[in-house]
Amino acid sequence: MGEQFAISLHNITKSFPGVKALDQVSFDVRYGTVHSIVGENGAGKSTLMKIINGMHRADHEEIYVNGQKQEITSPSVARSLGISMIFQELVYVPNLTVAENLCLGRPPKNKAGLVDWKTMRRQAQEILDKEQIHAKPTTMMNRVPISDIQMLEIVKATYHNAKIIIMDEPTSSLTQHESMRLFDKIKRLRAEGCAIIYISHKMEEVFQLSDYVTIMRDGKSIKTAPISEFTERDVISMMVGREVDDIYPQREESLGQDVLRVENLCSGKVFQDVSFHVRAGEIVGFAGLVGAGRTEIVRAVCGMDRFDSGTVEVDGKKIKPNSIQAAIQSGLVMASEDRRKYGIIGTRSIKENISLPNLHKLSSGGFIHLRQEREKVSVYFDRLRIKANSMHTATYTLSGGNQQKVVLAKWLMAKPKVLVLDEPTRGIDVGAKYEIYEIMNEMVQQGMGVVMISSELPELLGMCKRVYVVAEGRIVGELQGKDLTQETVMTYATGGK
Amino acid sequence: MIVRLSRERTINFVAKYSIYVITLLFMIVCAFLNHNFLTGNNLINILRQVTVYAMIGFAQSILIISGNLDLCAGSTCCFAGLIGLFAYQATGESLVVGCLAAMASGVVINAFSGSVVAFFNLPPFVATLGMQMAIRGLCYIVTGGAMISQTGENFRYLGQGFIFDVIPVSIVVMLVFAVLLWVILDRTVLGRNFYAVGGNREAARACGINLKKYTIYAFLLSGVFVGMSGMLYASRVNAGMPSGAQGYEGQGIAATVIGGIGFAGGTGSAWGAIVGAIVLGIITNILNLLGVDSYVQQIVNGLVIVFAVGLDTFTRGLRTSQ
Repeated sequence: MGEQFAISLHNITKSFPGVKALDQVSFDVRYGTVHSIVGENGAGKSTLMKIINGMHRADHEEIYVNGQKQEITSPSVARSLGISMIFQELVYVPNLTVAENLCLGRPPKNKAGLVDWKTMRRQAQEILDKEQIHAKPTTMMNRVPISDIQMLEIVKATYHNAKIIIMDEPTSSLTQHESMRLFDKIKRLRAEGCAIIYISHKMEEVFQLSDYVTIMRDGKSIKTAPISEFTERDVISMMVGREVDDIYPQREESLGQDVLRVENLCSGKVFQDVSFHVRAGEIVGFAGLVGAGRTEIVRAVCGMDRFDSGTVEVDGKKIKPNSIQAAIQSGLVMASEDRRKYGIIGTRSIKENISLPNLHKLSSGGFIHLRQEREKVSVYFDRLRIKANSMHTATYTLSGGNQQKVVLAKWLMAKPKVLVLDEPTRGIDVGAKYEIYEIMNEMVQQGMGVVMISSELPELLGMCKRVYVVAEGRIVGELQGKDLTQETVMTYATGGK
Repeated sequence: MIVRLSRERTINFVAKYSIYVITLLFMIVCAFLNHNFLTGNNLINILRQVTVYAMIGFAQSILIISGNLDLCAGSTCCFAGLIGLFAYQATGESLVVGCLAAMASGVVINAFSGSVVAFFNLPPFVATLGMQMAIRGLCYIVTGGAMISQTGENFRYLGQGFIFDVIPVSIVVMLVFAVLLWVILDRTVLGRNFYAVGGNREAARACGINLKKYTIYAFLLSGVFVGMSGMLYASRVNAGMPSGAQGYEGQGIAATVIGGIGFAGGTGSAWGAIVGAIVLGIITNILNLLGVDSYVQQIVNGLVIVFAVGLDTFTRGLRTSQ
């Protein structure tokens, strides 16, 4: 071997009951580079990363770290080899301080063997200063913004001289602005000679950051090459295994009356004086930084959280505030950004999930008409092309995209007038994203009004002709036509004029 | 349509029916251990002995499926039995009134526990643990601390009697309530919503399900089953014992979890508790047949509960790890 690779994978194969998750995956990662792994959900990226990090054992594996063959049997072995992983879901203890979180599990000790609080705080302060994070060592972790927490996670990961850092979709909960800060950090790590394995669904980021790309599909590594050898279209078509026509499907818009009208909605310090409207046949976008209050506003509108004053009208009729039932009955429903928490009941079947908010239509006297339920649900199961053995499959086994389809199916079956979608494509692969866009188009063409929150600006601009920008709990701009560009949205969102 | 038996389906099938297979294998082993085990009489005996556990298991199933728990079930069972006995005696020995009174007292006690859980957001574990002591105290008060041995002419009919001299009444009662539970859990909106609330509270709420309402419904319905278990218990021992049914909540929970109703809520079926109770019954029975000391039996029973819940937690880990 001429070049010393940070990590070399040879023919990694791994089977789970019923599926071959990885099939002879091979590629090399070099020091001082950002190496992106791209592929649809279920392509095997996460499994592969878990093998490198020692959380799974492969059936067949040959892993070389620094040219030496290694058996990575556990995460602690991985750590001792200088491998560190940052997960999509950040792992921290919310009700401990920043300092305590930073040295979780290995606090500095004084001579008596007790925790040396002074040193702990001093070390934490040094890190905070170096990373320019505006938090004190004594701040509770749950008061620190998510982007800072992520930065702290990365610091923690590099604490032990980690030279190989795996990041699994680190920007999925960050806004563009916050992502830029993360990218700076990644570039600094690269300059320091680290090898960074970067997993992302966002093509923009991959092309902005990477030196090398490995494309995975159906558990196989399709191609590894320097980024300069690819175009975005190449990557996407290799990922999905076919040519992709358009990222955002076109639709004809024919607008009707207002189906949703929100006026002067206020909720303490969370948001103030929010007014907006949505017309039938329209997809209205909500842009803004994470933490600007977009989710909070729509949650209150849909009755999930309380608000203090203001009105919500659906189809011209004022609805009872703070009541999810009232909102659903009037035809206003919401699919949350956090599918696992608010969207699906993982232990139950696809069928039961879809029929859950619609049981009153499928029952009489409290008894469910099982045949009618099966027939009605199967219509939506087929129409949304949910990929599963049958509609009796438990929803926790489905991929993110298919879980999102289950959530959409259950609300479509309720035949709402307004559908609120909070980050409808977060964590979903390219192919499924396109399908979800198509479903959205289909819905508005049938006269529904859709509200779409998204932190991915290209997606928002691709799907919406009118966008509200939210900043610090207020609607600071309504953009359409030629005013609607990434630059104007960002200017409003970051408080510029 | 072609029925395709995929591997995933096979795994699901095994996961769903493994408890039945294990029970069957276990029975075969027992049959070899002791030749008295596999006799009609003995098997009927086992069924009769587990009826109370199974009934409490039904009550726990409703609560565990909907994300709750009842540590007071043993005390409620005892108290409901006493009230049932009093009502039976006061109405000129009417078993129907006795049963209704027992069920009503179960509902009243659970209404209290349920309200505390729903409106004050107390964890069911804490609320019902407190109730366990309180209701036990009540049992001693209503009996004056003494056992009531004079019950009445046919009080023991429910627990000890036979229909046509062959079919034990208690088994019939158990099966009737099992079917009732199955209909509720499998066929009604109420049951579906129990699974939803226990499976994922937040997602259920987002579907417009009123969480407080369904928590209380679960406790009330469970009260009916616990109340009836009390009547069966009092009738079987044919006495009013203020110290009776102690620790039965544990047996009920064990039956439920062994029967495949996950401790985390939102999974399992109505038949689980019966199968679980039968497994518990077989264990006790075979230990008796083998002449194992009763103190050792307690240890075994305790370990079985730990093992069952541990296995449930472990398989849940397997299911969610991929």
